[in-house]
Amino acid sequence: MMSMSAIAPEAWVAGGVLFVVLLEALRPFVRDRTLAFAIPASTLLALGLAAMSASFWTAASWGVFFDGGLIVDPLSRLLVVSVSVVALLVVIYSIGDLERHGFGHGEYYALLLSATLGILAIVTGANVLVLFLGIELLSLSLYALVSIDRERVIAAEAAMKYFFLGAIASGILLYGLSLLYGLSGTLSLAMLPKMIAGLGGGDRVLFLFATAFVIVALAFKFGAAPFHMWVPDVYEGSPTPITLLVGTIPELGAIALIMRLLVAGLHPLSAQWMPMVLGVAILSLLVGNLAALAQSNFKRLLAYSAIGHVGFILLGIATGTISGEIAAVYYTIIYVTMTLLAFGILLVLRARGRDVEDLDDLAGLSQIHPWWSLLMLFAMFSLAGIPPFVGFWAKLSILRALLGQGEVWVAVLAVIMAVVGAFYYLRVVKIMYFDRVANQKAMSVPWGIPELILSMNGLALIVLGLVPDALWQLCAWAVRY
Amino acid sequence: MIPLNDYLILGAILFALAVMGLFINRKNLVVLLMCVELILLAVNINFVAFSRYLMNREGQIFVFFVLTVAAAESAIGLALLVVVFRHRQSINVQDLDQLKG
Repeated sequence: MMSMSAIAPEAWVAGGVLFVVLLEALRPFVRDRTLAFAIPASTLLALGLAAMSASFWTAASWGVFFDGGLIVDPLSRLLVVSVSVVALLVVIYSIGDLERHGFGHGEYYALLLSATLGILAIVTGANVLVLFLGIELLSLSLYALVSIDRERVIAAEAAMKYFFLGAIASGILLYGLSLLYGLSGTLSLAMLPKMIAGLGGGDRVLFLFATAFVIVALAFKFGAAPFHMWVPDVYEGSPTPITLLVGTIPELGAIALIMRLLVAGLHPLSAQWMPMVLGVAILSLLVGNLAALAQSNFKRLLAYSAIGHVGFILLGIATGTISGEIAAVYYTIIYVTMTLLAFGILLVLRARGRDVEDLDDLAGLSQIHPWWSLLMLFAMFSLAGIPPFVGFWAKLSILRALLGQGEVWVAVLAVIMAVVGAFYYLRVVKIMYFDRVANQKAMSVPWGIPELILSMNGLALIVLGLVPDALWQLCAWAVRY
Repeated sequence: MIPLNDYLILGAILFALAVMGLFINRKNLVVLLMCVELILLAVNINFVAFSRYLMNREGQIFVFFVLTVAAAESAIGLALLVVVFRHRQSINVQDLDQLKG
């Protein structure tokens, strides 16, 4: 069955990629100021239209389209809308910074849109081939984005490391997928569970082997320990606008991949893959939170904290229950909101002449930029999981799912690691509010739209924290379907 | 006719060789790129063998996409290699040590 409304988000974004490349080709003939307006505007338009067209999906549009290539269900609606909106915010926060540093040309926008297109393909993919192409489109765009600033020596190194580790992960994933294909004889995610359920003992062992390959690759892409080596390097090596992108949108793609491939596709084997995911989750919690204690670079600290949060998300998946899966999706969306805020503030500070790389660069921030340090405090409290901020509800939902399965010791470990995490988040707050630095100059820059939206993003952490139910119901409805 | 097992063993050997090459080789980034290609080709052997054995054409279609992706991947890999070489005048793996992952 063909349906234009099913493929509309991908179509808008793909159209956006082509249009931006076309505009860029007109550079010799058009004034630079025209392009500097037209390229970001068409990017924003494409992303906005993608979000709009997905939000118009109703119960009548659910189904599988294009010969089992594309699935439209509440989960894809939720994730398509959030991916497009997050990409929109990433562009809005980064525009100013990109222009000032001279890599605001068309290639950033084209690559951002193609990365988004890759994630949309993962989110709506109903076929292993579509998932694979989505992952590759996402990864290849990200490798290029990390090295977009050619003068930055560490960016080239970070991109090289990211490229090789990502390529190994893709190879491992493909090997796993080829075994799955050989054993089940199908590439369709809907058929896969039925074929597995009908198999005898010997083939199940081979399936387990293939599943292990798939989980290793997923952990690589998600940045979970022990396959996390690239995360800190890429966060530190990339220019801040790119770190903002790498730290937010791909997380939504990773959770979509896990929900589609592992939770739905390999459902009959869940008793076998749950312990593997649990191991990866616990290791990520330990590595992420303990290594973050020793960091002096702020972006590296956020990278290790990201690994710790991925551990929490995977704990939800490892319970193998619906409530755990809802909690994982809920946690991911909230985590992305918090990360957007933290890196968005770094970009705002950069515009005001304060380039934050090390933790010490934040010293005394509260006296010069009281509002931005207050928002940074919101982000840190929320990441630490302190009520009334929304990060608290995210952690609570994971813990509830764990306790519901009787995994008391895992829950206790998760709480201990959350306390360890609170230490380094609060240290950031301490440096901002209580450390003094001599002769600081305040650079006053008038507010624009990005500052307004960023402030709303910060306030959203409190508002969502006070009324956590709406987002939870949305996730529950998306996952239960 | 050569049995399916032999193809799978060949695929597994190539895959293992490529992964070993990635971890053992410490001298040259170009060799790493070749190993990445070899991984994808090992997977292709698997897909084609399964496709023939199952009499199902989907696997062969997959191979075309994998080949395309492999080409795009090596294009980006080589571009990054040029960027790294411009900065360091070297493509030695051990010189990539400014960031401590």
